[in-house]
Amino acid sequence: MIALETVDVAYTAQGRSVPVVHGVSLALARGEVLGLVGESGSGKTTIGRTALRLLKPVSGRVMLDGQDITGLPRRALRPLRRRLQMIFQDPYSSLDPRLTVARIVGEACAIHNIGTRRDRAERVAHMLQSVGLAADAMHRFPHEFSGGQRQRISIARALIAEPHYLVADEPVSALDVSVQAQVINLLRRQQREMSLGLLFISHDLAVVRHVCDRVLVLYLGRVMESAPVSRLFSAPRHPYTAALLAAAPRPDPDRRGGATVLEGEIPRPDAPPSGCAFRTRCPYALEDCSKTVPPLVEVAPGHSKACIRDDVP
Amino acid sequence: MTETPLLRVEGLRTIFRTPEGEARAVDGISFDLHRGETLALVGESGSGKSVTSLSIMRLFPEPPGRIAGGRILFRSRNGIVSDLARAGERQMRALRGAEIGMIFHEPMTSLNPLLTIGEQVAEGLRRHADLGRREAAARAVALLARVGIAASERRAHDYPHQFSGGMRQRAMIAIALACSPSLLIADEPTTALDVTIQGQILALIRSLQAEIGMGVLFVTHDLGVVAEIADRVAVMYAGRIVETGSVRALFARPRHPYTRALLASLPRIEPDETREAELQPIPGQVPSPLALPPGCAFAARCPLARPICEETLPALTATGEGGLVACVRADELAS
Repeated sequence: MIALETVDVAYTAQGRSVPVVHGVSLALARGEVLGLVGESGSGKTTIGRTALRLLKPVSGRVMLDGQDITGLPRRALRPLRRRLQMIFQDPYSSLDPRLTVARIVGEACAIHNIGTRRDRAERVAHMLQSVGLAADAMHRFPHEFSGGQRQRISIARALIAEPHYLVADEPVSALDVSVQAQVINLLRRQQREMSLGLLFISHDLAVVRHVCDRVLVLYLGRVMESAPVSRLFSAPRHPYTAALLAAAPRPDPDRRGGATVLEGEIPRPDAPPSGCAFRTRCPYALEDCSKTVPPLVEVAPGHSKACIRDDVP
Repeated sequence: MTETPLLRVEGLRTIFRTPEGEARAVDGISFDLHRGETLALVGESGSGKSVTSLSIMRLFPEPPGRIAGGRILFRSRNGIVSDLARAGERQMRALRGAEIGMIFHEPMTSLNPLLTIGEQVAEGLRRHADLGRREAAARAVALLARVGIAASERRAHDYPHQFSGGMRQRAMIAIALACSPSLLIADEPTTALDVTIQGQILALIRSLQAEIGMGVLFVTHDLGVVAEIADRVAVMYAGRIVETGSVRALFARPRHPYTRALLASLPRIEPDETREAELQPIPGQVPSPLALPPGCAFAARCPLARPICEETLPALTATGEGGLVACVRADELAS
């Protein structure tokens, strides 16, 4: 299991430390898909990178299979990295254009000393096949592939060392919908077959609903709501979740204009509102919302929300 | 509608010369757009939707691109219809910004980083509406307020980097609409924005359209956005229009196998027990614009294709619901 325990993360900008993640806890077990949703600036990507210990939190702990890896130096982390992988949004910039696909995919084996040279070639061929690429792809270069095929190459690269956990940061956002469906099906199949713990970061709620088991809704670096996927979508308890769901466009003209549009924008992390981070845009905000940060409270088994009002949305 | 349309595109073909040969990016498309109407041009990468909008504005690089055929008939405010496919740069400059407004998906690259937001809104007013410096500046502040920029008097002095993505797109809209154009071309204007901001921008475009009465050509890959904004829809595939229809008819009764496949490939927010657990991708890939097949460009990926589909190009024919569909099996599929 990967666990974040009340993690705070900050970036340094112009000599000033700006906190961007506040007291976030999450647990990701093998075989489970946990979604992180929220607008730009909600801290999704930062949390994903912290879970892989690519970033070090300023407080709180990062646990990997029971081991505290919060303060581990780079060298001590290296052998653990085999269990952790990541894929990114942009399949164009995340693959080295000078390397063949065989080198790109085989690199993880070389880094972790998996198998002999000949084994590796076989593993690569097998991996490419299981992500749906032809065997002759091995000797070609990234630019010879379409966006969807490149994302398959990224997935092959991430999975060849048989990681236990995968962080996928907007992995299908740059793809056309018909191709997006192929890549989502592939990711889900591989996730099940390999019993991967998948942290799935996305702004697309329809994709999240389709892929995830549980979801954390983030706003300005804090967890607003956490629930099993079907509960979150059928009975959201936080006004921000409800607003996000209402704003997501549906391919259904009969629903047009039905949603109330959430006003304003997400505040800057260096000037957050007092109290509840969402209160400046919340249609249900009360005076008390500005006084204290609402704690994340369980409202049903496995379902928590950080909102002082029980009567909304 | 019997009035002359605001925009009539007839048999438009736009070709790009490449080292590998001629790429037929837009391969003979026709459509009308009326005042007050929103037509969504929807398609995936390589469908030719953006080249279509760039062709109308004559903003694609010529060469290597060129309009190889067809007409783009635009009716100006004075009632004169001119063919933009043959217009010179001077005529286009007079139209762009004055009668044709444009917004693109990445406002940061369309705004000048060295000029204040207020100066950029005022620029078009000074050029096309013949306003003086002070008048234009005041009008710019009012426009920024109209598109939802709070404290617009102060924010007019900001530079683009001081604006968020959503505010930049609002500023772009203020620039595009400064001279109350009769045609707005919006190319993926909300693609880079979060959904809550996207909702705000779509609502803004709708209310401004009602106010100004402009025709909107809305280019997008997002069927959710199409359902939200369009009156009519044209679905593009491999440089051609394969289906058109009113937004309701198209979503309720898609006729072309490509439109159906596209809708079926979408994950949905609302649960639907009738759908399979796996998403239904469209197998294969879009054909290269360098080597379009002689027949239907979708035939190689189409589950319903017949041998004839590979040989002859299907013509757009009426659906009986006011739409058009280019599929030889459209009649069978309707039932």
